[in-house]
Amino acid sequence: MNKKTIAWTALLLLVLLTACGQTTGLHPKRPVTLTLWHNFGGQMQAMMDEHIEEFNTTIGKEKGIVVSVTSISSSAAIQEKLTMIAAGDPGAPEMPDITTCYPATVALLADKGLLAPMDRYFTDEELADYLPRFVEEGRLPDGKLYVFPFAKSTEVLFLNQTLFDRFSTATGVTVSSLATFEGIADAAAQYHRWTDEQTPDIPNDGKAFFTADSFFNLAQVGMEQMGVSLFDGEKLRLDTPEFERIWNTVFEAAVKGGYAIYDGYSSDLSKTGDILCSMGSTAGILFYGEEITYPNNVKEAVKYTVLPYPTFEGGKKIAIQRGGGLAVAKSSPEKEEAAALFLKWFTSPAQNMRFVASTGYLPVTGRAFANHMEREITQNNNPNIQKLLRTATTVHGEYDFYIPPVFDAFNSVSGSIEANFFTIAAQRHEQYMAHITAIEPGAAYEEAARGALKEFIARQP
Amino acid sequence: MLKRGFETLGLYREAIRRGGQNGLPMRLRLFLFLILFLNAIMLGVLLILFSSGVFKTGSLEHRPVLGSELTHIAQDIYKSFGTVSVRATDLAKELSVALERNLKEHGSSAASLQESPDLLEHLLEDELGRLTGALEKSGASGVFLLLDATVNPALPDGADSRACLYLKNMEPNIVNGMAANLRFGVGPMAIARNHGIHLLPQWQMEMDVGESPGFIEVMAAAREQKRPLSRLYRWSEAMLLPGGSERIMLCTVPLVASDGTVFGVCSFEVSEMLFKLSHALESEGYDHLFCLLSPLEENTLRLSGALFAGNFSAGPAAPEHTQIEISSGSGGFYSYRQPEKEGYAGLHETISLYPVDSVYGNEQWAVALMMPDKGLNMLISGRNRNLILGLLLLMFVNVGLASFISHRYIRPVAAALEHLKKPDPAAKTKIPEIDDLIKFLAAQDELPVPTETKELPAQEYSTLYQEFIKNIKSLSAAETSVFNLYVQGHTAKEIAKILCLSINTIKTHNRRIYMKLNVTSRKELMVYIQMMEEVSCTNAENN
Repeated sequence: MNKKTIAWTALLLLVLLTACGQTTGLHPKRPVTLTLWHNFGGQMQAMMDEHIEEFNTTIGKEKGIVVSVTSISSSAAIQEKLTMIAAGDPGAPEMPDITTCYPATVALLADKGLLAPMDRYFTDEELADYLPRFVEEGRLPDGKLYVFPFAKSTEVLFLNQTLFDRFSTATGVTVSSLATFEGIADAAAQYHRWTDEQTPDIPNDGKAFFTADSFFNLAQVGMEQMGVSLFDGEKLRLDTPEFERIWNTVFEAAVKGGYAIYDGYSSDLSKTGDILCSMGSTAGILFYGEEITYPNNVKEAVKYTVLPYPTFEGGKKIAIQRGGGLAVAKSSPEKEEAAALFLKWFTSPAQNMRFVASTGYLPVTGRAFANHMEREITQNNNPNIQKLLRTATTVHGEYDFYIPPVFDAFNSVSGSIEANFFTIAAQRHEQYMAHITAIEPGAAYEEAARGALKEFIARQP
Repeated sequence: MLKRGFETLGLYREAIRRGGQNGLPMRLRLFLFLILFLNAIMLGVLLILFSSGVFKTGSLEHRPVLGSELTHIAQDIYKSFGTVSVRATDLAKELSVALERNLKEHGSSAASLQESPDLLEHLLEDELGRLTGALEKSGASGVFLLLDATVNPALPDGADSRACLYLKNMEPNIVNGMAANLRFGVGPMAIARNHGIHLLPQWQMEMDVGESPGFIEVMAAAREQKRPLSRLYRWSEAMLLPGGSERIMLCTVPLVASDGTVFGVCSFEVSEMLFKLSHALESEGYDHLFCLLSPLEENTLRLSGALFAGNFSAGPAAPEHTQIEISSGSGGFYSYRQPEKEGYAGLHETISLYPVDSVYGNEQWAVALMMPDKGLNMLISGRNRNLILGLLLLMFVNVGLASFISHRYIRPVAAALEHLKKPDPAAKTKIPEIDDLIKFLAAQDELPVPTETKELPAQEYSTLYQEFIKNIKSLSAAETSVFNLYVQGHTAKEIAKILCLSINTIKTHNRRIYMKLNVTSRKELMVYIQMMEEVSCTNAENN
């Protein structure tokens, strides 16, 4: 056998071995399946399904990627499960390949080495197209991008304009007064009084005017508006004049009944006309329909107005930046690359605007905000979403955004603040309602509110 | 190998060009023989493949695979839907008893339910725990309790409005230790608030049965036919609830009081997402295959009421949600047709969702596995294409092998033949027969030259001889010594002895002498030497 023959044989063997052996990289013949958890239920689920199916049948088919949704849950339930996974709790479910996630939970997962940073899969030019504040929120202290911006939101004020117009006509309270928290508290007091007067035979049955999905978010943003931060590192600054101002503004309204003390989404109360005004995520827009239902099953058609986030009088225009992103589990290079491709496709301006237009989330790229927003506002069929996008554009242009800090205990601090405010406000409201039958309202409030802030501060761990 | 193949083709061309004037060279003869032999074997293999029907078995090969998958899926669906049916019937029995007792405690009865609208919220709230417990056990995606009464019959749409509690499990497919992730779809808001259950965006206080007539039909059938609950439940066709975004099927069971009053229904929901996740297809390589559970009417699948499952890539390939006609197809498959739409091929089998004596026992359901016609054709033609490509490749390899073998085999023979033209007794061809032949010819060469010589034409004779004589002058001294001894009539061995040289040295001198004198053998040399002697004698006589 001469050298030539040996060389040909060796080449043939090499080709055969290469063909038979394991190869790396994405390939349509060997599709990679990515499990996905998200928190977009109801109407948003249809939109997510549509997007995912389109990805699977286009880019996914071409590259060999199949995205399979294995859980649709509330964001709180997903965060709870992810926390269980991070802690290695018995009975914790298996970590999905991609999940919607908030920075605080991401920190827990990243600490355990369960997440893949996304920087390496994106060029600087690609990342530069995303709004810097969204990208920065997804970076952990090690500087790596673990939460990819996807469904970002801010908080706005939803106003039942139909019911408010009746109240406004009767009392003279205007929409402009809702630009400040003090104005809202004042409107709440007037509304409570006005509704109480509607039923002269039933004393003290005035209705709540307002509530917020999260008192904790209100407190954080309120402090920022007044130029200080609620957090000093991981410690809370509750014993400050700024926090006391926030407390007094909201707590008095809550105790007197103008602020609904409700441990759920404020939109639930809006659906039954129990409140007129609610503060929550832009993504809550789908929960505000075109009618409200009263307890006797009578329905009334209503129109909503979406207003920018209120400020404390004299405070800066600052709103909270909310919403999670998508985190990718540490896995094989093929899965991580496949996940990155999915993220790129899903957040490209065209796909992103389709998602935004039907969910109430904000665009994540500069191009989407600059080139697509105005067209979407004029073309969208849902009047509530049209109003929301217009307000979101205003907030995007006029407001600075507060990004909550990231540390392990953040979620528990958040939960504790919410629970303690809820508990104390509910108790003191009951006390107020009991006192008011005997003494005048001012004195009843003084009595009910006595020592409440101290108790609240003392309850924090 | 490739080079030899081209060489062989060149030989073919050359042989054809020469048209057999000089006969075919040995290499080409061997090449043609090998090609004939190898291709005859391949032809035999092809004939065996054809006769055994390999080329026709593409579709037959997929039939058992899909048949097995269909059996597996159908059994799976039969079991899971059967379980939901049993759970729904059990729940209806429990609810019937509990609600009747509750009504009695409040001085009311099932028959007078509508007369106590204020009681409806309380009745529903009291059953919340039972409903959530049953939902978690059932593996369904939602549960309904609908009472045949409304809180406000005076409303314009009061006739179609019914008090209802609808809870949806957002993660029915997740089995772990955590409580079900419930959402409140229909029901009094106070119940949701009291129990901390978040709303679905499409929340309604009561159910509009005008848009979901299945509930009323089940109650009507139960009123008409007094049978056990296990014979009264009904599976709805897949549908969208008012305001809903996901298609669902409902297993609805009437609530019957002890006096026979039908006063409501309870239902378990199977959502399309749950169906898709629970009945994912396991057959690899069938990208466009999808599965569906559909109402069956004679030869028509009513897809408007079907739930689909399958690969995500199957989604866009699935037929429209209208109806599809069944006919027999080829290769053991059924053919499914929608007017002016792409056809489908696949298999289906009927599935029993009810006991034989059920009120709805005549309603037929089928589980079908299908894919677009072109999907199946691609699978079949892809297989045959691979087979034909394989055979073509084999033919190409045959040509290469024939070229290689003929080249390897003929090369030493050709070298040996060349060797015969320029004899070198020391060299070996390593082909015993040829080596023997060379040895024989060498021995022949050593024999004494016969005296009689071939007469040459005078002209040629003169020219060649003159050339020979002229070339003698080009011999070296050593070669001249050897030549002179040949002239004197000595043999090579004698010359070696006389000159005290080895026989090999003499052979070397011989080759040079032959070359310089332009002769090819000792015989020819001796002919010229004889001519020299004759010329010498003639000259002597003339002088």
